[in-house]
Amino acid sequence: MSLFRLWTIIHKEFRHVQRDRRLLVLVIVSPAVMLMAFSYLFSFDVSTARFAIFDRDRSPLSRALVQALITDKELIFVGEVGSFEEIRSGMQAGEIKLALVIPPGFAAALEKGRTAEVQLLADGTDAINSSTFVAILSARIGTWAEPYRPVEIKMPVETRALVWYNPDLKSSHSMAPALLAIVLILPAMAVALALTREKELGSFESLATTPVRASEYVLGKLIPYIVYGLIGAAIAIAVTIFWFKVPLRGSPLDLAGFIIAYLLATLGAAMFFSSFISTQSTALRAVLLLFLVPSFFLTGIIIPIDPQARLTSNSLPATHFVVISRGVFLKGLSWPDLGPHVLALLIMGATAIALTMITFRKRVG
Amino acid sequence: MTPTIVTTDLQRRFGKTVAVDHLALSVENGEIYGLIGPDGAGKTTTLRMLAAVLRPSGGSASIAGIDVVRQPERLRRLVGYMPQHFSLYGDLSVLENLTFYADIFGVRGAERRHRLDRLLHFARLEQFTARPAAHLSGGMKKKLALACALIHQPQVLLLDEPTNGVDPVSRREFWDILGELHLEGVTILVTTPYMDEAERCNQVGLMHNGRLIRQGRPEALRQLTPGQMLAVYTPDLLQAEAVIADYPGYLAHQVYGDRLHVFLDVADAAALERFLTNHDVRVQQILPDAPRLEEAFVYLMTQVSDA
Repeated sequence: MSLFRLWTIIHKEFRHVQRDRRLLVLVIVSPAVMLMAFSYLFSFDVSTARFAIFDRDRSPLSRALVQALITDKELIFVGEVGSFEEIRSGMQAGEIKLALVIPPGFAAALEKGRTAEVQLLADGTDAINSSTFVAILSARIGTWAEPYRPVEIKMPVETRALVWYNPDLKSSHSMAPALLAIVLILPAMAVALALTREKELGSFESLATTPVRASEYVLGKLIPYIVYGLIGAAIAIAVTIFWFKVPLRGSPLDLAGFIIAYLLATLGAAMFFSSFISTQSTALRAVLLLFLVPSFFLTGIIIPIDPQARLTSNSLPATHFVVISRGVFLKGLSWPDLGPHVLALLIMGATAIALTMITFRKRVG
Repeated sequence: MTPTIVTTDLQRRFGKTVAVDHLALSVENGEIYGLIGPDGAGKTTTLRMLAAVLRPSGGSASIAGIDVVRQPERLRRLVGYMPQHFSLYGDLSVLENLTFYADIFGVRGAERRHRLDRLLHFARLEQFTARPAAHLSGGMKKKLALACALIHQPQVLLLDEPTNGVDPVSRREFWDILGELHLEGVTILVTTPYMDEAERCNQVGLMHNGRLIRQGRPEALRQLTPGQMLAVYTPDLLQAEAVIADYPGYLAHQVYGDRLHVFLDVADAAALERFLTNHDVRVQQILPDAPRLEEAFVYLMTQVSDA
């Protein structure tokens, strides 16, 4: 391998990206923009729990419960309603997701030491959120009703839940670091486009008749996109830290190192299959289908990993990076703790890059 | 002395299509060899195999004794290849493209500066060094591509339709450059659809359906048309074509725009005019003419199609 030829390819590739505004946006700005969009799109925060109250008891006690709930900062109180019909129309219009109905006799039951009942109506079309909202509101009412517990009942097991690393269970805190895995697939898309563009525009035919070697060509394409990928990652991380206020508890240097490992794995794989593709549009579809879509659903970002699909999940670089990123951001983990995942990425990257070099042919057609 | 470029039984199939069929080509050292033939004759496929960017399906080919299949990397410094389609980087400037190829070929330092200056001058591109290659005219793009293919001073040049889509002035200029290279002793294999360009070659090979049907010096090929030729100018071309085969001593004919080229055993213009007039063909003029390569080419093509 000639370092001078390698540098020649790298230098040329940097120029291509610098002069192609769309490519520049794709690798540098898009990750941060996508991260913001997806973070809001996949936000499961309770702050969106818009609820109404239908107080049919209208007693001092029921008013006290209403007061306690509407001043809660985590819940969005839309208003009080006077009929079930109003609840129905509110839900139909999507204005409320949840309604609390306090039946007549609520105060009387409490005062007599009996169990008072309230009704929660939830919009089941939004199943995941609704169950969370019901749980939250039930918990709030339970806390409020604590003084009215008639007899001290001793539970055989009392659960005291404490959530570590993300005590407020803010979805952005767990989502933003995980979504980094998704948005850092964009540099892989760019490198797949770069490889196929050279074939599509025909410049590969001339390049193939020069003394350039497989290793020089492959690394010459890879290295610039890793550099641009890191710049894009830095901006996305800044958004994570400063916009979503996710704490970076681990070392930024570790994180940078792990991102390089992730980029090696994703860019390596993208380069490998691009060597069998001759058009940019096919390359784009391949990245979407082989990377982006599975990385969303099989890597534990949105839905937990299906144990039966464990093998598939583990073969996706994103699965490992989700664990790494959440670990570094929220748990402050480092090398020894994340070793297996980082190693998995490095092995994937090295294998893909080696295969790309071995199968590389200076041929057209 | 053995020829510089030799192919033996060279074949290339794409699925069921045979693009190059048992091709036996030989180009002598220092020659300009013109490969002519209709679209789809297999010219581009042949050049790609010689440039070692396409694997032959069978047979062998060598350049300066180096096998193009077994030792493709040894060819790189020896051969300059210019593909049919624009294959440089449109977003890089003229100078950046040239410098890129210089660097890839390891041409450095004072030598690089010297060659860049020379090639820019040679390709008449000194005024446009900063212009992105994508913004060059068709002729300038071709000249830049040639300059890039020459940066490592190859002994053999493979040019695939280098003047296709280029205006006549640039075309002439391009061939003047090839003439200079020829004088420097570079062996040039060039494909072209233009007969006037084929006339400027030392040797011409006619390809058809992947085979080489005839090769020789242009003046020798011109003699392949049978008999003598008369050019008939007439407004009744269709009628003339319909009856001409009945003329005694008729050998062949070709239509060129407003005239008919007739090949005859004996070129008797007066007799032909009488014959045509008798067959309701109004004759404006009949002139004796020397067949050009174009007539020879068309004649050979019809011979092949009829066979």
